[in-house]
Order: sequence, then structure tokens, then C-alpha cells
Amino acid sequence: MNIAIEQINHAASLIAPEIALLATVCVMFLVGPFLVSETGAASNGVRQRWGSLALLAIGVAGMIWYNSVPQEVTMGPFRADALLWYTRGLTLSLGAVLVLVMWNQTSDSHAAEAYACLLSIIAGANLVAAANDLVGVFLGLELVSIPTYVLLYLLRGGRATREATVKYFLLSVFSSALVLYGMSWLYGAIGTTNLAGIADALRANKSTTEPLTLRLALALLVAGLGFRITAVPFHFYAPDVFEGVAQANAAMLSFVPKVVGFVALVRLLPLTGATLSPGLWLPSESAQMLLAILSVVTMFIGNLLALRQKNLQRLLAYSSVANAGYMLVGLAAGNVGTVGGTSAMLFYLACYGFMTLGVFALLRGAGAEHPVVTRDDLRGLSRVQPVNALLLTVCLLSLIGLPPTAGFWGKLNLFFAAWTEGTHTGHWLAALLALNAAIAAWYYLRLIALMFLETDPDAEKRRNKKELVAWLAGVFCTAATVAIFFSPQWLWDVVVRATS
Amino acid sequence: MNLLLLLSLAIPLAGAVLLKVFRATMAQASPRWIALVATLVTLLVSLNMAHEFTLLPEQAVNASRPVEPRYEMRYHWLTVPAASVAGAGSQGFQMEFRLGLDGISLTLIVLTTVLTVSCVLISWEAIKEQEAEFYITLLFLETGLIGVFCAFDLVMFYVAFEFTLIPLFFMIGEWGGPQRRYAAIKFFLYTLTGSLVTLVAVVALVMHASAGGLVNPTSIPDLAEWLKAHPLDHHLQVALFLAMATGFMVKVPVIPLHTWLPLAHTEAPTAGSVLLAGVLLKLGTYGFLRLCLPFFPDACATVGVPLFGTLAVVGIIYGSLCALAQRDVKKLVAYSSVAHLGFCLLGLFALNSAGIAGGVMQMINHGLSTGGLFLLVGMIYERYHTRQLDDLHGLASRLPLLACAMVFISMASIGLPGLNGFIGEILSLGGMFQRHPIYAAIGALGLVLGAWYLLSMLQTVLFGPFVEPHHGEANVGDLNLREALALAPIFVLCLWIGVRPQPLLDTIKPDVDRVAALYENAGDEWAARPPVAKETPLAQE
Repeated sequence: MNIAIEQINHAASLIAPEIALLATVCVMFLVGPFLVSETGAASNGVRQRWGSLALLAIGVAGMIWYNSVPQEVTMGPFRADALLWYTRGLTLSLGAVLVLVMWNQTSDSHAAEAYACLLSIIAGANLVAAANDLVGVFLGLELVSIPTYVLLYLLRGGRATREATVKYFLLSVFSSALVLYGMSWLYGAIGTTNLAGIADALRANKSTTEPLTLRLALALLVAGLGFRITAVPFHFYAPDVFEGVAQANAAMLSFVPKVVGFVALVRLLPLTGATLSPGLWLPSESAQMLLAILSVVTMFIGNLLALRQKNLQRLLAYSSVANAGYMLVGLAAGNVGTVGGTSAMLFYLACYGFMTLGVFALLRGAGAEHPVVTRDDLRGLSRVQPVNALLLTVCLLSLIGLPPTAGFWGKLNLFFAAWTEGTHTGHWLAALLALNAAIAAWYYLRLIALMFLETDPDAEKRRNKKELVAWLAGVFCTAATVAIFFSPQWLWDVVVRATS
Repeated sequence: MNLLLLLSLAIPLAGAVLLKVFRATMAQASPRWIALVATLVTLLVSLNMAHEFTLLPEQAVNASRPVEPRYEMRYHWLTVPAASVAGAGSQGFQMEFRLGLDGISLTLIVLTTVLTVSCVLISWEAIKEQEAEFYITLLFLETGLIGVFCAFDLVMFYVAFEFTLIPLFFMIGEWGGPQRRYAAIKFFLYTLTGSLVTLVAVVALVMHASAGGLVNPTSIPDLAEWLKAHPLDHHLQVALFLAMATGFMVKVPVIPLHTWLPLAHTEAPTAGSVLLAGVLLKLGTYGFLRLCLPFFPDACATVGVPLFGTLAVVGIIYGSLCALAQRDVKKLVAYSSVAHLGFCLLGLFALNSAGIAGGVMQMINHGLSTGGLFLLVGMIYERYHTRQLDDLHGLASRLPLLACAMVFISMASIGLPGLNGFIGEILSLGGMFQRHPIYAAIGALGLVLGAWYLLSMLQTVLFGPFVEPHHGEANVGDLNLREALALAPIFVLCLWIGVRPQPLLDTIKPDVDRVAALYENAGDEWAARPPVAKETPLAQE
């Protein structure tokens, strides 16, 4: 009896940050409704209080994370290792940014639910990384998806949002089904749902397992998770949904599902037998071909379609598609050469999080009264909000991949990884990545040109109308982008440890 | 020395930050004063650096190291630990902030600091909108340029190389002429695309060396040494050479990739044109000299010489003919840059020490003389708001000093013996003559053409009946003190290099010899007495 309790305690201690987050979620869901009158009105300022509570919860979780040591411990359904440590650090720090971006976008009456959804999404993302079981991974994925459906509609009503939410809901359910189907094939082939158990089984009798079954599992998992990372051809929802939902939600969608998807891919792909050495991600030829084709198509479609976009959130949706393609390059390369592909991919993921959330936060920070929606709204921004325009430029330059920003290291590491992979596939991936970086420069640069090189008398309405809280989040992201450029070592160490 | 090198990078940066932070509380005139002080101090620092550089102990020439900074400092930047896979003998590698100086980079740094001071002075009245921002971009640009020249780490070189795009993009796009947006975007995308191809080559080379066991494969000297000891397979070498050259070809620009240049030059504000022509184009030739020549000796000798010899010659002739046809003075000067850089390329790809030294000299001379020409064109434009040859006639009678200056600089640019242009062109052509007489012979035609278009431009603009274009101001004055000060250092250097090139040649010689030693016939006598060409182009006068 005592041993059982001890084990439960131990297992729980592995996910202490998530418990802190989810406890806050419970409090918010339970208390929230009591602060809203029957007519649906809430007293002014409730949203700030819930926001502060959310920040506090993330802060507590962050403290626990900070004091934990990234070492491998497996206990029951959970596994703590360096990948989990990395994921937590990333989602918690950028989760705080998301809370700040959302600050004034929710109404007072829905604030509790909105923040609760956001916190459970963050917790779900971490649980995907913490899971030691197929079921656990799936639960984590759903803990991200289901609150997302609610959150998308909570922040903004209206037809467009309704359409976006329904679209996201249907496709997300479909993709979950694909993931589940893939998992069931995996289970069918190996006979256990325990991740470590599957790895052991693979190691023990690699040759006797049915390769076709595992290949099918691989394809289904990639398809299902491809939806979350917006890989082409599973990206169709992204532009419409990004355009239809509120800025804070678009920011969340551009980042959290990518973390979830890529971390799940890193965890699950080696288990489908698609790897030459169990435990390490050295993709087999067929898996590599699949991922390489996926990444090339994703890069090209994302970048080429982004060229034509006028709505900023739509443009950023395609930009997020293209960035998924870049990261898939790392995954396709695998941990072969001097620079590991998975490490480069996780490095890029962190850089991408900071720069893309920086863009969203700064766009939001440009003003709530006259939101920046289309490209033309940026016209002449440098005249009325010079600092904001400058910070936005830094983030956009980072997305282009120019120094002195984190994006430069992100892309460079991916280049290194693709090139050291050694085969022709790797070399082609590096070359196509370079080509795409050049295409992408065009649409980011046009935004910079609009802000600085054009004037617009209408821009005056934005003077002194900053949305301060979201803007501060943007400042933080921009600072991080520049900081990573100058001292990339610590981040690189973290991702290397997470993938070895 | 340590301190000086860091200061030369930090002072412009500090000036820019100062401007940005205190912009709101500043008086109208303070931004330009701050910029002037910052650039002047940087100039002094660089001159001091040049002085200390001469005091450095002589290094024994180590034949196995084609690139060797005579002074360097290193800070750790990023270590990529060995991947967990024990494959291909990978042992991880590291990148460093590696700043250094050799004779070539030192002279180019001094060129940058000199021209930047002139740029501030020429922008004094011309820039009326967003002054603080203008000087911020100018100072950032200076930092980036100095950064390129003192980078001895491949990644750092690339970082600085790319970084220079950003300030120049804003400078052209914000303060340029009527087509500035198009020009800025075209310039940016053209150059970025080219340098991404370069990046692929850099990545490939670094990874190749790392797999071969080099611990810090991004260090340029170490990489050059390693490549000398372990030559690449010929096909790989040619492929990497061409890929790496692409970015530099766009920057130089070499003929089929030059179309961004006239547009960017015409639209840029004067200071932008001066730095673009004076220093930024040199990043391309400097890249050839610093990376392509030492890394790919085989490819340079077999593919590089015919390819770039031809392209350079075509560039010289085509650029000159285009210049001859222009009706816009600024565009004329822009096309003359294409021609002049053809000489520079011709010198570099002579692959012997006379030629390479000539190429380096030509870089500096072109920076000075074309920079000066752009300054003067800017001054005329400031007075009359036109640059059309059809509108400007006989200005010498109204602006005698400016006319004198223009004639002087044009002569330097044409290559009059006794001024700086001569020495570089002769060395380049002489070097190429040893390698492939035919390229040199055709290239020499460019000297004649150069004299033709510049002299006919002078004739139209300065001499003949005085026709003043319509302008708003009551009276147009001659050079004022500020403008004279902007031109003075350039004039002094033009004359000094023309009369006494020896100190400059001595500064660059050891480094040029190191590279040239990779290729067979490295003559040593040239430095003592520059060869005199039999036919001087000035016979045309």
C-alpha cells in the first residue's frame, strides 16, 4: 500500500509543473462562473485579475521547472528527460508571452475560461513530452486540442470566427483520429503501448516485426501530426483559421501546436521502426524520403502562397506553414552528422517561437482600437510608433534569417544539419532551403518597407495608442531573439542534450 | 591594439545607440554633430590602428598558411559538441568571434572610416527629414563594414556581410530618389539571394572540413591551411568555388548580375552612393580575395581565370560603353564602377602577386575616386536639383573650385600617372598580362573608353557656354568649407597614393604574397619598381 502511494507521489513529482497549471485551471473553471452575473456581465477588471493569476501559475510552474534537473527518470506513465525539460522551458516562457498577448482581448465575463483554456493547452503540450505511453501522448494531444476549440470562440464572436472554429474542430478531430489509428497499428505490431517497451521490443527483434505495419503506422502518425505542424497537404485550415480568429489565438496556433507536433514526432517516429538505430533518430530511407518530400512541398507552398497575401494573419499563417517546412528539413536529416538534424530542428523551434510570437505581440501592441489587420495598416508605422516598428523589423529580419537575430542561427544550423546528412537528399534539402529563404525574404521585407518607406496620413490614429501589455511581451520576444544570436551556446546545449 | 580594434567597431555603434536613445530630447542640429564626432573618432582610432600595425613584429611567412592575420583576437561563440553518433569521425566544432587584421583589411578599414566622415559632411544639409535615423543607419553601416573587414571567422564574415544589407536598404529606401522603394527592394533581394548561395557553399565547406577532422573549421586561416594540406576533389572544388563566388559576383557586380547597381546608385542619397561604390562593392572583391582565392586554388586557376577574365573584360567594355551612353551623371559614374571593378577582378584573377596587389590597389583607388565623384555629383545636385547632362553646361565659370575638384578626381579615376588610379590599373593589367595577355590587352581598351566618357562628361558639364538650369535659389555658391573638408582627405590620399604608392604596397604585400604563393610565379620585384606600361591611355587626350 505504502509503496503504491510512494510511486504515485513519485510519478506526480515528475509532472509537478503541469499539476500546478492544471490546479489553477480547476480553480478558474470553478470560481469563474460565480464572478459573472446571470445576465453575463462581470465587473470591470476581472480579466486582469484572471490574467495575473494565470501568470502566477506559469511563474510557479516555471520555478519548479527551473529547480528541476534535466535527467532521465521513468516512473509509471511519465518520463522526465532533457526533451521534457526543453519543452517545458519553451512552453512556459512563451506561454507567459501568450497570456500577455491575450491580456485585453478577452471580455471580462469570459476571462476565467479563456485563461484556463490557455493554461491547459500549455500543460497538455508538456504532457505530450512527459508521456511514457501512447495513451499518455494521445491524452496530451487532446488536452491541447479540446481547450483550443473553446478558446478560439471565446476571444471573438462573429461569423468568421465561428467558421474558423468549426473548421479547426472538424479537421482537428479528423487528425486526432489519424493519430489514434496510427497508434493502434503500432500497438498491433508490437503489443504494448509503453514507449520504452516499444523501443525495447524493436531493439530485441527488429527483423521479425512486420515492416509494412510499422510503415503504415509511420505514415498515419506523420499525417495526423502533420495537421498540427501545418505541413502541406494538411495545412488547408491554417490560413482561414488564422484569419478568422483573434490575434492572440492566431499567435497561439502558430506556436503551441508546432511544439506539440514536433515533440510528438521526435518521440514517436523512432518507435515506428523507421530508424536505423533504436533510440536515436536516424531515419531509414523510406522515412527520410517521406519527410523530405513533405518538407520541400511545405516550404514551397507556404512561401509561394504567402507572397500573395494581404491580410497579415493570413500571411503569418503561410509563414508558419513555410517554417514548418524548414523544421521538417531537420527531422528529415536526422541525427547523422556533426550537427544533429533533430537538435537543429529543436533549436529552430525555439527561435521560431520567439520571433513569430514577437511579431504577433508587436502587431497586437500597435493598438487595440485600430487593430493592424492588413498589410496596408502597417503603412507608415515608423512615423507614429518608431520603437514598435523597429522591434517588429528585428523580428521580421529574424524570420528572414538575417543577423543579428536568432533566426540566422536557426537557419544556419538547419543548413549544417542538412548538409552533414551526407547523401544527395541532404544536399538538395540544403539548397532548397536556401532558395526558400530567399523567396521568404520578399514578403517579410515588403512589410518592413511598408512600415519605413511609406507614409500614410491615416497612421496618425495609432499615435500613443499602444496596447502596453502585449507590447511588453513583444519587447521580451525581440530581446530574446537578439540575445540568442549573441550567445547561442546555452540553447544549443539544451537542444543537444534533449536529443541525445 | 585589442582595444583599438574593438573601439573601431564600438564607437559607431555607440554613436548610433546614443542617437536613438536621446533622439527625442535633442536639438535639431545635434544628430549630425554626434555622427560627425563618432565618425571622426573612429577615423582617428583607425589611423592609430594603422600606426600600431606598422609597429607589429614582422611575421615569418609561413608557406602553409595562405591567410594569416598579423594580429587577431578571439572570443568563444558557439561550440557544436560531437553528435552522439560515432560516425564519420565527427568530433564537433566551434565558432568564434574572431577579429583580426592584416594589411589588406587594415587599408580597407581606413578607407571605410575616411569615406564615412565625408559621408556625414556631405549629408549635413542634404538630409532634412529624419536626420537622426539617417545617421543611425550610416553608423550601423560603418560598423558592419568594419566588421566584414576584420572578420577572420567564416560565420562572422558572413554575418557582417549580410548585416550591411539592412542599413543600406533603409538608407536607399528612406532617403533615396523617386524610385527608391523599388531600388531598395531590388538591391536587397538580389544581394540576399546571391549570398544565400554563398552560404550553402560556406556550409558545405565547413562541414567537409569538420568531417575531415578540423577542430575550428570556420576559422578562415585554419580552413585555408587545412585546404592547402588536404586539397578538395577537383569537381567539388569547382562547384563550391562557383557557389561561393555567386554572392560575391552579385556584390561586385560582375556583368550578368549587375542590373541592381545602376538603379541602386541612382536612387541612393549621396552618402549611400559613396559608401555603396566606395566600400560595399569591395565586399565582393574582398570576398574573392579572402575566401575564393585561398580556398580553391585549383578551381581558380582552371575555371576562375577564364571565367572571370572574360567576365571582367566584358564588364570593362560593356560598363564603359554604357557609361558613355548615359545622360544622367550619377548613372554614368555608376556604370564606370562596373568597368573599374572589372579591372579589379582582372587583377585578382591574374593570380600572381603583381596582379593581386593591383586588384587591392584598385579597390582602394576606386573607393577614393568614385567616392569622390559621387560626392561631387551630389554637390551639383544639391545646387541645381538635376543631374542630367542636357541641363548642365559650363559650370566652371560659376563654380570654379568645384570644377577643379571634378577635373582632379576624374583624372584620378581615368588613371593619370601621378594620381592613384594609374598604379592600380597598371599593376592589374601587368599581372594579367603575365597570366593571359589577351585579357589584359582587351582590358586595356577600357582605359581609353574610361578617358573618353569621363572627359566628355567633364567637357559638357564644366566647360563650354554657361547654361544654368532653372533653380529656386537666388545665387549658387562655390564649394563651401564643409564640402571642401569632405573632399580634402580623398584628394590628399589620391595624390599621396599616386606619388608614393610604396608604403601602401608594403602594407599589403606580405598578405598578397601569401595568397599568391599558392599559385606558381610569385614575382617579388614588382613592389620595388612598378612596371611602366608602354602605351599610356592618356595619349587619347
